[in-house]
Order: sequence, then C-alpha cells, then structure tokens
Amino acid sequence: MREVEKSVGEEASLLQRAAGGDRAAFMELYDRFSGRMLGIILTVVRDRATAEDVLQDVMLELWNRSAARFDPSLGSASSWVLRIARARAIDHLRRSGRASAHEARRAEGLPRVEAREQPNYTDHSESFHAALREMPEDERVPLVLAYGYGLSREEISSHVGAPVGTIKTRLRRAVARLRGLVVESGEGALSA
Amino acid sequence: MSRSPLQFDPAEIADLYAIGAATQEEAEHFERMVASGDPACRKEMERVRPVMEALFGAGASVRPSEGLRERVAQAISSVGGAEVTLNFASSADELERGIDASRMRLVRLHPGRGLDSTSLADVSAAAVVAGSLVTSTGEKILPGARVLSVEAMRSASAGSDGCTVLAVRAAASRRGGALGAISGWVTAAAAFVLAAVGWLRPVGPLEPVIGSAADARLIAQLPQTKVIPVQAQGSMAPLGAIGEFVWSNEKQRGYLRLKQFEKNNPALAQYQAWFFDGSRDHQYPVSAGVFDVSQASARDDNGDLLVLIQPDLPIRDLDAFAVTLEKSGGVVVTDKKGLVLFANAGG
Repeated sequence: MREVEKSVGEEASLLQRAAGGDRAAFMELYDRFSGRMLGIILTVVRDRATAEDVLQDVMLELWNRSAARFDPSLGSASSWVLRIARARAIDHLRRSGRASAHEARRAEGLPRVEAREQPNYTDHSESFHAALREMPEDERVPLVLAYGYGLSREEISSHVGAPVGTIKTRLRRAVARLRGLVVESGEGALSA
Repeated sequence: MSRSPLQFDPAEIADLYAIGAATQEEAEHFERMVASGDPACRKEMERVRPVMEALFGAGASVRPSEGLRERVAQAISSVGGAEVTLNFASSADELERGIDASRMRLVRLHPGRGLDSTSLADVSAAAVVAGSLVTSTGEKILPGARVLSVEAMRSASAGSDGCTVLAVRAAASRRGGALGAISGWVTAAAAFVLAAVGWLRPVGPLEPVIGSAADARLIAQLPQTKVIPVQAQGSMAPLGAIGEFVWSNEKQRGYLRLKQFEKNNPALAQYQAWFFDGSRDHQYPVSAGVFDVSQASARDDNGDLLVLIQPDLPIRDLDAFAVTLEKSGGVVVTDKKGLVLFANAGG
C-alpha cells in the first residue's frame, strides 16, 4: 500500500514538474504511461498506426496545455492522463466517422486489444473484466457502450432502445455496483 | 433546450464522470467545482474515485514503437511558445487614448506555463488585456477591449518570460431576434478568452486557404444556393466583414470565400467549422471538420481564399455558420471561446 501511494505521489509530482516545463520529468511520464495510454487508445481506434498518432498528439497536448490543469483532487495522475487519452481516441473516432456502436452490439465486456499487439493485462485487470461479465446485462451493456466505446447517452438510448433517462439510471446503478465490487475487494483484486 | 450543468446533482454528475459518460460540458463543470473545493462535489469525487481508478486500471499495456519516444522528445524540444508584444493599459481611458509605447513588452507565452498560476486563464487574461494585443510584427489582434479590473494586475512569477497580467473582458455586443441561442453563443465569444494566444505566432502576410476554385465555382452555380456574409469575430474581429459563406442545401456542400485569414500551426491548433441547424439544438452545432491555413493554401481567380465545407451530419435548415479555433484535431463540443468567424443565415 505504501509503495502504491509513493508511486501515485511520484507520478503527480512528475506531472506537475512537466507542467512547469521540465522535459526530463515529461519523458519519465512518457516512459511510465505511454504503454497504458496506447492500450486504451488501441481499444478505441483499433489501428496501431492511428493509435500511435493519437498518442503522440495526446503527449503534445499534455506538454502544451493539459499537464498544467492536473489537480490531484480529480484522481491520480495515471487516471488523469488515461482519461485524456481515451477522450482523444473517441474524438478521433467520431471525426473519422467510424461509429463503433455496431462493433459493440453484444457489449459483453470492455473492448480488448487484439492479441497480435501483445497486450499486457495485469491480474487486477483480468479480475475486473471477469467481474464486469457477471453484472446484470441491463447495467453492463450501457456501461460498456459508454466507457468502452465512448457512445453518448443518446446514442446508447438509440442502441438499446430505452429512454435516455432510463439509460442514465442504469449507468448510475452500474457505477454503484462497480463501486460495491471494488470496495468489497478492499485494496485487492479489483482495484487498479 | 439543454440544461445547464449548474442544475445537475453532484452525485449524478460524479457517477457519469467516473465512467466517461458525462458530456464535455458536465465534465468540465464538475472538474471546476472539485478543483475549486466545492464540498459536495469533492465528496462525490471521493465516492466515485475507486470506480474511476479501477476502470482506468483495467486496460492493457501495449508497448509503443521505438521511434515514437524519439518523435515526442523532439516535438517537445521544438515547442517554444508564442512570441507576442503586449500593450499594457492601466485603465479603460488609457486604452482609448492609446497606450504609452514604454508599456509595450515583447514576451514569450507558453500555453499553460510561465504565468503565476500556470493556467490558461492567466494567459487568456493577458491576451484580452490587450484589447491591444499586437504581434511582434505590429499586427493588432484585439482592439477595443475594455478593462474591467485594474487591481487584478499582477506580475507573473514563474518562468523567465514573466509578463504582467490584467483581468479584462472584451465588451460584448449583444444580438437579439429569433436566433437567441446563437446570439448567446456569439456573446460568450465576444466576452471571450483568447485561449489561442499561445498558438499565435508573429504573423506576416496573410496566407490563402486550401480549397478548389473549380469546386467553389460548381457550388456557386447550383440553384437555390445561399450566399451569407461572414463577419470576423473574437481575435479576428478587426478584420470585419471578410467574405462570404456559400451553401447549397441540395448538395449539402458549401465553401468559405475569404479576403484574408490568419494562418494556424496545425500541430497546436486548427480551425473548425460548425453549422447551426434549425432542426437541432443550437447549443450543439454540427461540426464540419477541421481545416488549416498554411503556405500550401490556394485561392480563386480573384485572389480570395477558399475553404470547402461539408458537414458531418445532414443540415436541414441552415440558421448560421461559424468557425472556431480549436486544439489540434478539433473537438466534439466546442467551448465557444475560440470563435473567429460567424455567418448569420437568418439575416
């Protein structure tokens, strides 16, 4: 636990130093996060070359602007940069006009990186994916479409044939269930 | 009519934020509230934080190619910020009289860095001071701003390029009529914050825009084509009426013809075109993608600049057309601060 806290603190410090223009700190951030950032981008854009272009853009965005906006009260440095990476990947997908909803028709789980990319999943993430598969379908599907495929609430509504208000309720129930699972497991299996 | 995020329940917005299901507007509002120390939002953030961390920690790690690290390292070593001259006024009167040349300072602004709170808000304030911001080549960017808070002047402490910052706001020119939502959009931009200041480079002669003269002629010859005057806005407001937007509803294509336009640095910022469709919520205009203004730009027979425009979604009833300057790659929902062109089809 102490090691985790230390690492989280180091990453936040690196991000703050990068925001101040420290190139060495920024490149250390690259070394720590680029693998996970590329993983999350690849699950969205599905193409290695495109994903690397998006990753490069995200890194430059961090350097130019976003790192300065990091606030530890908004989560860990890693979840902050991964959130930005995911958002930019979804932006790219929308701009390119490739709707991902059709790929998510069954939405049984979060999209996975193809095996040929030699993805590295931790035990924690495998446990998380397994727990997700156990969720009730009416909660899992909106959650996966929202988080995994970046669909808006309106798009999910159209995809599953339920009103937007119902989708919002199901998403909130999914969050409550996930939180229960994470908290139940303490600092163990489900927490990253 | 969309609801303001201010009306949202912090618990609801936190749940949606945690799983990436909040809209950009909701997410930004929530982040601001948390960062400002709002107790309810902080409490909700703490509640959903484990979910957020677990979700983001559930992804795979994939090793980037070897060359990417080098490209990133090279890119950050070449990003040097923007060099501009700021005119600092101590009062609105001084702005109107003209500012003493001794107050002009050449500074290098780094987006998000080099200012006391290392936030873009400060960079923006510095830019808007300007009302009189000029580039180092003397080109005026923002005449006509009004000083609102002289006491907000403070010295930048971080970075070697420190500059003085005034909190000011450009005078908003309100518009009325049927296009209420749009006028609010324009007003917000008039009271705008020039987040783009870090992207501005010393500008030389304006560059033509990429386009095809043949395509433009074709569109112009179509029956029932609308020709709408285009007004420069925000940072480009001094350019005034700078051209027209020509739109064929039948072909769902159009083009911008501009007498002049400022070039952008595509690595940092791009222009993005937007349609206000009468059949859709004006708070969320339809994107028509991004475009650049560069050395490679083309022009028509008269030497005017051309940008061909094609919206991402069908436009049924064109109310207005706008162009914003956004981060490279564009955005899904614009925060409206980078408005540079506006064409009102409603007259």
